Amino acid sequence: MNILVILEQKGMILDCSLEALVAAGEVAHREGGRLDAVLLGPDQRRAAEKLTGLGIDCLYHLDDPSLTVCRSDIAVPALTALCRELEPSLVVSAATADGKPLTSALTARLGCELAQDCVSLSWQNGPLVEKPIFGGRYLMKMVLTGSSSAVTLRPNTRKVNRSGDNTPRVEIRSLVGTKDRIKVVAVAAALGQEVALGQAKIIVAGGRGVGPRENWNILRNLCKAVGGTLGASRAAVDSGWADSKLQVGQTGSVVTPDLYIACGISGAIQHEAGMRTSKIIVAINRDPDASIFSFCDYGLVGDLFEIVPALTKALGIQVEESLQTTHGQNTT
Amino acid sequence: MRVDSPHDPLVEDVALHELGRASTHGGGPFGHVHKDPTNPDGIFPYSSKNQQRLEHMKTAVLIKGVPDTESVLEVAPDGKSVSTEGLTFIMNPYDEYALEEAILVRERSGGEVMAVSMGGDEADKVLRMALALGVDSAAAVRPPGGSEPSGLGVSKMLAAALARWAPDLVLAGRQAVDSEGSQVPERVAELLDMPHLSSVTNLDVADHRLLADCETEGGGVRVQVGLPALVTVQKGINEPRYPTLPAIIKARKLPIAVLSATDLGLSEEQLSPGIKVLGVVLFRKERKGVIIPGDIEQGTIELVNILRHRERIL
Repeated sequence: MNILVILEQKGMILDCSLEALVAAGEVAHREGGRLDAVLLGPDQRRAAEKLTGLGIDCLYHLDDPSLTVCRSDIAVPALTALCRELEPSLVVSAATADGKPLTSALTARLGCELAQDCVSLSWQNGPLVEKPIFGGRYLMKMVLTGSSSAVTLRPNTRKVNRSGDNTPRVEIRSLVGTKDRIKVVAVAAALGQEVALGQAKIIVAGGRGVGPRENWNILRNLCKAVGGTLGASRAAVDSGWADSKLQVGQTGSVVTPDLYIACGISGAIQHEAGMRTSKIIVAINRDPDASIFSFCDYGLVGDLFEIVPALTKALGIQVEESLQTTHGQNTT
Repeated sequence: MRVDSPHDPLVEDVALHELGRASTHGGGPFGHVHKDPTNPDGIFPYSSKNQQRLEHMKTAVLIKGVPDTESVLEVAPDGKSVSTEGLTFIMNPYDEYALEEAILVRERSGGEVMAVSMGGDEADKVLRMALALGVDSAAAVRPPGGSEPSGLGVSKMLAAALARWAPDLVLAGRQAVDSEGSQVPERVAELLDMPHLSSVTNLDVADHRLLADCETEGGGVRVQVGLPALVTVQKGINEPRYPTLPAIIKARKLPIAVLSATDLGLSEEQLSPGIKVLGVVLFRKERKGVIIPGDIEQGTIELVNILRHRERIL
């Protein structure tokens, strides 16, 4: 059996693409199969070096300047040709905003099944996956039975471990059969957030309790202190207090951070759907009966306008205290 | 999903080509269907009208009936699906935006709108809602008997249905909030050899081209593409209107075309899913539920300690 992993890049190979490689690598290793990868994007000559110790046999490189922005109509025909050549038992990629439609289009051309946004991958005579459904309230466990199929994996659900120093050999593949029907007119800069919500490891989110835009600076300060990305509930977005791109929830982004700090968010089902797989949820709300307290790990009941700045301050204090302790030990 | 005849006595077997006006670009009522030598994978490609000025814009909208998110859900007795028995079905939230956008396109560019939905009773229900909102025609595609089709099968049926009508623009919601398959619209586009744009927040259709803002991770891209094309829409692209009561009542008597796999020339084998469901379980993550006591200063310091040293996150 052999597995092909599609890697995305934005200057650097995405973390979630590396996670997909690790997950696929575990399966390939256990089943005695081969692992290959394909990288979309211009001038990634040094890419192979970044892929050591991941068990990749060959890195195929679709090298073309047009792929600076992920372009389905350019990449899909080339990926289809590569898959016809390699005949992978399984194609894996990260479930990103670009990766999901790309993989859908590819599987349509290959005529095979696709399971999107899975949280686990193993093998049972075919890929065995667990996939959230119904807003993440349920997990569907299924096996893809075709001779070839595809899976996309939800970001931030596994650690990237490397072993050994094997570096893949590289083969450049030219774009073939591209349609080039979509013309990029402009690329909008990111919203001032460096990390996309769907891939963020720490998120500070505000709800209706935060109120108008001018109140949101305390959350931005907390973001800076904690190294997090800003998010918002639908209520805040609908009230015009936060940009829709910040929305977390059933009709917003699904997030999988290590830490989710919910400030002034009541915890409606639709919001929970977007953040329920966060590793740790911290809730800050003045209403002790707010739903969010029923599914958080840690909660602080009180006025967020006092708690959030205090939390930001506490993050600073801790650093000093631990430094003091070390210093104390050295002089004893 | 039920495959036998729906409860609604007004849903008839109306042949698809009787709905809407005849195609103006020749080739009979279904338009040209030819094999594009540069696209041997395309099953249902049809000629694009890029070179001609559009006289009659045909917009199709793909919609889906899904269980109301507020519903109390239960796993079915066989443990392999979520039971939809007795549940209220609503239009998939993202599809409301797609439907509204289709009506706006017609208001600006003229032509007609057809709503298409795959399913049984729930499909009929959302098609009635679409008719109440003003679409010109509606078609229900019935799934084949046997196991529930996967995204692969659903897309083949929808593509076959659309190919006959030859739309210039296909709109769909970004994804369905129940199955979250996240693949059908883009698959349909590939099968029809149409370019596709995903998660569009702004759409401008003029003559034979469209300009769209596509949302991407942490930013966006503005693109231009010729017609025909498929677009999936993101929430916020517009503000969906509500149907009036007279429109809802009138919609109850409007015809809905019904298409089966046989009508579309697809065999059960072609639509049989290559997916075996082993089980469906509640995805409950145990939460600690610790409310940190003490005053604000103590509480926040305690929380930071916990996150740093116990949870090792910060």
